Amino acid sequence: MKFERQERIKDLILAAVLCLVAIGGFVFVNPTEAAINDGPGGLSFRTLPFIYSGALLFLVALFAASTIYDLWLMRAGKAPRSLFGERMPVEHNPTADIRRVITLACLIGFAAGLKAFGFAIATPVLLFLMLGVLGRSNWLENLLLALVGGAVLWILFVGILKLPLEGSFWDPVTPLLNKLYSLTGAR
Amino acid sequence: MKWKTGLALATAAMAAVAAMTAAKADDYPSDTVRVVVPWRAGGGTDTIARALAASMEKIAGKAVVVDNLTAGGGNAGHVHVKNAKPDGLTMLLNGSSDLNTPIIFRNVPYALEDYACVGAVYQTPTWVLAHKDQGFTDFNDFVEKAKTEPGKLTVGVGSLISAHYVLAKALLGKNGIDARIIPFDGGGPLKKAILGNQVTIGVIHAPVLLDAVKKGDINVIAAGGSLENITYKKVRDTKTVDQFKTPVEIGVVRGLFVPKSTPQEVIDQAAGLVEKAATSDDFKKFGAKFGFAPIWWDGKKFCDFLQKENKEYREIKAEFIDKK
Amino acid sequence: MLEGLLTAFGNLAGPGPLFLIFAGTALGLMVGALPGLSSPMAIIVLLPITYQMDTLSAFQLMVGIYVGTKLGGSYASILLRTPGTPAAACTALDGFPMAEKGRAGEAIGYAVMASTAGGLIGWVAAVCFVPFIAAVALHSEPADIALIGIAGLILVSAFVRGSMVRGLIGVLLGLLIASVGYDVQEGVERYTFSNPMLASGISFAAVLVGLFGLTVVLADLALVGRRSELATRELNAELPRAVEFFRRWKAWTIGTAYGIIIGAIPGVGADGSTWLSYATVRNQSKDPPPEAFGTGVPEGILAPESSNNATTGGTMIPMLTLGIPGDASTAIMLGAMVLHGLQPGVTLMQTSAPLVYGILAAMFVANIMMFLIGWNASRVFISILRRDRSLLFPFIIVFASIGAFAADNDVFTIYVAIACGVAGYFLEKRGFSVVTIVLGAVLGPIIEYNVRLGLAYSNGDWAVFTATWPRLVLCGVIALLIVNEIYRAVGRRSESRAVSENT
Repeated sequence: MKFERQERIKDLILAAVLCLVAIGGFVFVNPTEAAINDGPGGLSFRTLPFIYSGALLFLVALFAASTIYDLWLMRAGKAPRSLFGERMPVEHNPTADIRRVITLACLIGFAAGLKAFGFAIATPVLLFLMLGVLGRSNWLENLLLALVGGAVLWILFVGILKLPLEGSFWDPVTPLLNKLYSLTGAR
Repeated sequence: MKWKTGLALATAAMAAVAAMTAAKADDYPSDTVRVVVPWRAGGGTDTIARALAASMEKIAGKAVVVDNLTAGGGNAGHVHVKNAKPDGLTMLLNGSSDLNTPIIFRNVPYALEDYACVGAVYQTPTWVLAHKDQGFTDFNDFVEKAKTEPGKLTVGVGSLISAHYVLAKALLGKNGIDARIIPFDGGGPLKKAILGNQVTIGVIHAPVLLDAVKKGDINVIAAGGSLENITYKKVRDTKTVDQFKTPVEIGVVRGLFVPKSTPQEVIDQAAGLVEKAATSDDFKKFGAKFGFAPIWWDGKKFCDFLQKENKEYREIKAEFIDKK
Repeated sequence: MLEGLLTAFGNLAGPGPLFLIFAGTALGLMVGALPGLSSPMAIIVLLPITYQMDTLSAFQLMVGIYVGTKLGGSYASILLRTPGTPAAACTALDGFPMAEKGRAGEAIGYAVMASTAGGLIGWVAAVCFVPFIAAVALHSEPADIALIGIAGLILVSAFVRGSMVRGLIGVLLGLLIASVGYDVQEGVERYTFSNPMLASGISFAAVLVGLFGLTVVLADLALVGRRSELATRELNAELPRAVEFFRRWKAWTIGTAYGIIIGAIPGVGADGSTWLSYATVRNQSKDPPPEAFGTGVPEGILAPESSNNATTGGTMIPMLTLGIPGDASTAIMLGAMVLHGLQPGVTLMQTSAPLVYGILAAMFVANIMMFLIGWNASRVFISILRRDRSLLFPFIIVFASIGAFAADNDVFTIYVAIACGVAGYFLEKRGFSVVTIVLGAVLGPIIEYNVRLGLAYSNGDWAVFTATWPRLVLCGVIALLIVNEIYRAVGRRSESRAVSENT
């Protein structure tokens, strides 16, 4: 029962967030710029977003209402009704959750690192960290995988696909790799 | 004596620097050249860029890569080149009106002053097309019909932030016509609408739909600039819009830019390479198939043109577009 | 026409052309299987290499890639729940559950058969009905597309029947996400918060990678270290017996039909056909019942897979006869034609007929190659993709991130994908389905843009949506669908009330 209660409270938090999103849909549509052309048929650039936000608000209210109803039922000792559909049982897995947070941090760091350090440095670092986070304990193996994997991916993405993945000031590696690559005669 | 040593050192240093710069001068391009195109792959400007890049690569012997930096509607590409290293290895390829119209109509994080012009390679006017079933032989037919059916006829343009729109507004304004302008989501959908006779007339860059014109499905009823260089003889003397009360010249000139702080010698070297590529046989062959012969304008001519175009568009905007 | 085609086929009978098509298709399968890499990317990269080749050879390669990616994406969808290409996203709905039950080989077998059937039938239909398809492509108007989009959205509510409120919330979120950016009709920016990177909207590829790639990775992190339950006895694709395949003819016929039509109509989006066909097949399915879809029924693979391969036939016709592209890959192919000195458009058939026939012939052969390679080389894909997640996920993350990056060549898109991934994870945990968000994001802009464009055509007259008989038919279909949905929803509600009253 406590589990069900926790789930409902999380639902309510989500409903609150979605409610803010819906309100944002009304507020942030674009107050400042003036339209260059007039919209046809009575639909302006605000019409549909407002319809979406309004519908969202309505549905979120329904959702919140059913959740609150369930909480009230449970407080009274009765079983919750789940008017709007059951959900799959949710696993609680603290290890996984910690891993998720670290993965997220790594991802954001990777994106930031791409800009600063370039693909050549960011990728092996990401690979190494992720391999470790996901439970592979053999550091040496992870390091090798990261370096070899990074090299292969670099050849694929930067060498062959020629994506613009150089870092800015902090990236000494990419020009070096570029020279090496062009020495092999490839374009 | 210290100052003599100092002088000797300074001279030596300067000689060394001069030697290095001189070495650099012969060395352009010292590495891969990246041509930034702020449009998606497959479009008109992108195709021109790739053809030019191929010619440049042949001449320079170094790789010349096209990067389609389309994020933010192209804003990312413009900002990227604006902030790039001023070594001539990163260039922006864009059309003149494609650069000017966002600057005039929107809040964009770049301005003409952020770039130095390397040169221009391809010039095409805008043209006004109509499906053959509309039965117009020239723009005046459209004007007459529009005067008898105010508010009914439609003019297709590729976007509200484009040379098409500027020309359409000027034409409608100067001829006193009440017709509706329908903006599409780019040249592709506009092309389809014109081909399918879903708009009365369409304003689009030449030489788009040239093949349909050749086949006879589409008529060219006016041109935003001279069509004398187009590869299809029959439309070369299409009347230009100044013969329809609209004394403007509206088209798009595709050219290359580098960051403003690039030193003049580097700009000149880059211009040298681009000029050779633009006048090469390969690029000329491409132009023949694409519809127009390539051109070459040096940096100054191109930059002056951009300023003039900017001013002209602002005037049209003030007179016909801004709501009173 | 027939003569031209036969000659073209004859010209293919040589080691050179066959090798090129084989290489292209194999490359396409690999590119497709890797999440984040896509067909347009591969074609664009090969473009400079093809300058040295003659045009027909270049296109044999490109067409091979184009066809190959349509099947390749399914491997990742089925084995890992993250699609290798947007076109394969729908296949994961039934493909992955099937794999989870230990029937991965069978799932891949169904995918291979459906893709081949869709590709070949789509090709035959496209070639036989060139004038019709070209007419559909040319004369389709925004009003038609808008109605198709609305019908699609109603169909999509089939997915939400489990919980209509949650599903519709997902759809609305998708619709709002897609509203960010520049509004074409009025020239105004919406929801851009003065950020120049949002000026053209939220990149759809980033949303897809985020919701289907990163969400899955975040969610399935819990499965790391567990024995892979995908261990199948046979390490290869199991083609279904002919009986099994033909018994389910409705699924792949409907899928193929959707693929051809939607591929031919520029502006709807070839990948959307997979969702529409899945929803239609699900709705009209008696056995297995609609509720079974999503648990691993073969029909759930047959519909989208046949659909996405059939779009290749659909997009080819407007590309070759009108010069109008149906998706990103064909747009690049058109550019490639220009760079090779051709003039695509209405005169292409006259000026370069042998090339046109050559491309069509190559596409046919590519489908066959795809079948052969897909069938036999599946063991390679499976052996790679069933490695433990602790090894795969880091690489998938890199692929997904770079895939998002490559959408616009900017790091901002990666952040967008990450944001979508996180949002998707939390929503899924609360019982929402990210599928609904994606559908809202896909169909929303199509509907809005085309409704307003249609009104622009008719100067604000709403009657334009019933002006021609195809549109009346579409309106009728929409009305029927709405009635159907209400009926089923009410029926289910009273049913569950009866159940809970009896307990």
